[in-house]
Amino acid sequence: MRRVRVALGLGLAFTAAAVGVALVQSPAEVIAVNTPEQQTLELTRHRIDVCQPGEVLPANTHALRLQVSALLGPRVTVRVLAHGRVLTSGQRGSGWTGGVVTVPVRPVATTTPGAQLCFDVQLNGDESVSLKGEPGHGSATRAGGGSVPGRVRVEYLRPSGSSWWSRASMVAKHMRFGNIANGTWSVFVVILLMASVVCLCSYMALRMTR
Amino acid sequence: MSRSSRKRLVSIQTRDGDGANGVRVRSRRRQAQLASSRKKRSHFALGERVAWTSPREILRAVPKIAWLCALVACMNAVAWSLITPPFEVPDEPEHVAYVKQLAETGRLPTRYGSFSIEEELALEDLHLQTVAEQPQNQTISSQGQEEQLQQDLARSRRLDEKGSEYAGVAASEPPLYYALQVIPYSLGSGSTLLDRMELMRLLSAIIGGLTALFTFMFIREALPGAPWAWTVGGLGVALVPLLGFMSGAVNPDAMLYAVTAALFYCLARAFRCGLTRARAISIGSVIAIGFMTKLNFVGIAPGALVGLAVLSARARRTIGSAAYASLAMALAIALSPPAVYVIAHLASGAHTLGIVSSALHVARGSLWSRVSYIWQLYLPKLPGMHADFAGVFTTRQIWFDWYVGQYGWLDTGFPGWVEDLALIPAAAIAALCVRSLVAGRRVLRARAAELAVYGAMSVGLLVLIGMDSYLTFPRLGAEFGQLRYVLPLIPLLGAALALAARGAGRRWGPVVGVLVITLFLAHDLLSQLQVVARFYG
Repeated sequence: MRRVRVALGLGLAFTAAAVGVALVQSPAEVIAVNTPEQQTLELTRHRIDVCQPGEVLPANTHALRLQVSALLGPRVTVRVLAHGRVLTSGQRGSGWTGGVVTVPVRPVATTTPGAQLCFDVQLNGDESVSLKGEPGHGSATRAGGGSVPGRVRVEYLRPSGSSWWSRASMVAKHMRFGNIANGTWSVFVVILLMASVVCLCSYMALRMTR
Repeated sequence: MSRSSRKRLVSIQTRDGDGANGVRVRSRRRQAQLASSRKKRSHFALGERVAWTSPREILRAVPKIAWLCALVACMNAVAWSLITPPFEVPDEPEHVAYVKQLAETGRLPTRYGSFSIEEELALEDLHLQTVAEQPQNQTISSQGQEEQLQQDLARSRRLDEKGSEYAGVAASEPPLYYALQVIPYSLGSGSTLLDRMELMRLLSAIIGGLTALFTFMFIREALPGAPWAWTVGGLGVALVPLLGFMSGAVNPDAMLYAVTAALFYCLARAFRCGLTRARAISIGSVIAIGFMTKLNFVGIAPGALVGLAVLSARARRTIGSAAYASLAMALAIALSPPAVYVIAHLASGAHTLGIVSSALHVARGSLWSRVSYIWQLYLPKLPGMHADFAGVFTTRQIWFDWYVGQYGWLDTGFPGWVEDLALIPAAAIAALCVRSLVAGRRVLRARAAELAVYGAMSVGLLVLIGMDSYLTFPRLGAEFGQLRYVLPLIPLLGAALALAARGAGRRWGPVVGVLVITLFLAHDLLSQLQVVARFYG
């Protein structure tokens, strides 16, 4: 019984620590976008290995969010180059899903205008992906010749200066809008419900071996 | 069965471990079963009616801890229902439209047309088009947008429009879940669509509680040896975030999980205590409810019907041909909904099995290419197979990673490192589970038929999902490769958790069990935070 109590204490402490660590993290914020347009440029099943010039790589960029959508996304690698030198790079493994793919990259100290963004969406001829962005203007060039009919939209992300915890009241206020339970009270109901769940689980865990 | 023989049987069952004295206990149970079956045979021979237990007695027989598991699952689902913005669950707009049509017109919807003005306005004001599948976009966040939404919701209530002819993908689903949802929908008839949605979500949450309850009862029947481990399995399932997410939404999947859990329980009970007429009718009724809940049940049903046949063959040894009468009755009940479905489609000149026909008659590709695709949807490619998912390890990247977290319109998940980290506890749980199975291999052999039935139910569902996904392959790699479709098998996860806890041995088992519970609790809480951050951060 004592061992069970200790395990429960450790488990709950771990849970509290994990929640605490999550709350002191900073949410990602968009520091730059290469184009406001989000029109469909191409729907393809074939590998996309393209470079688009004229990008600005902001300092402290931690991730790039490419407007590439797929149901079962392939591996994506990105490189940002200036004067033939790789400034930063990163990759996202296959298996992602959704309307965008976020690729973490190594942050750089200074902002670099006139950079070239190269990305490789490693399709194998089966699954299809669609690219969205600004048609025509500053088309991305394929590695094997030809081009994508436009510039793929890219958002440059970095961690914001504030933590989730410091934004708690703002998040609670946001939950009032467009939600089923119209009002901040729903936040407190959720907290109360989950606190009850924790208490019930603890009670049941302690009773388990009786 | 007489009162005394039932008592004896119960007392033996509670002691029926799968451990060292299993053989002795089994022989005593066998004697008790023979004694009771002799009585039963004479009862049936005399044409005695089935002795029904009152609903009150049935409810009283459910242990308190099972109710608490249900309460945890229900509260968890209610929390999810409040966190998840309206319509930000796969296909929720279509399911809401189905309920609206049924509640306001009494007619079934179709796959064609458009949503009602009321729902269209809500979807537009909530910016569903730009929020769903676009994790960079959040829900509306200003007072002005909220006022616009409330004004439009109030305005649309004053319209004469009734129902929603269009329900898209939901239109092909059977009506039972939606018919139940008509009750909360009608209760909130004086309020806005979003308020009615919350009431409907609450009903789903209650159904989610039933999933946990039946899972607990299934584990109790399937693994009677260590009662403390039932709590581990039951609570673990109650805290699965995806169950909370789906049970906190308007979606017939929530009810399919509960029905399948009930089916697992009924089968386990019958395998443990024998097939009586009442149990056969229960299994038949649950199968019928499954058919009326969601089309995906078509994948589970064959395995369950095989289970009924196996149970009847066993029962024949003890109660004679009366077992086949029970089987016939169960089959008649179970197969009546599909029979009505087929007749209705034949009468209207449509395919015999409606939309199910499309999955069953995949014209494209050879049988081998279909088998190869379905295999690779779940497991690594074997030599000689064409790579249908080149570069994707489906077992890990679709099923495991998406179990770790994939909420909203599959647009809200954890960072990759969390998925990597999750492999450690998952591997530990799997290893303990295997250890437990190896230790109890003698019992496993004795229960091979029962396990084969659960296996057939699982494989049937997986093959159905694979066949449906193959319809859109290769345009879409795995359209139905979503974990929510596999969640009807959640009672088996509960059993695996209970086995894992038992695998740690008598001394450390409860400790491991408590750690498993807290792990699932942490996973649930962090998943909720992830959803809050994605939609409101």
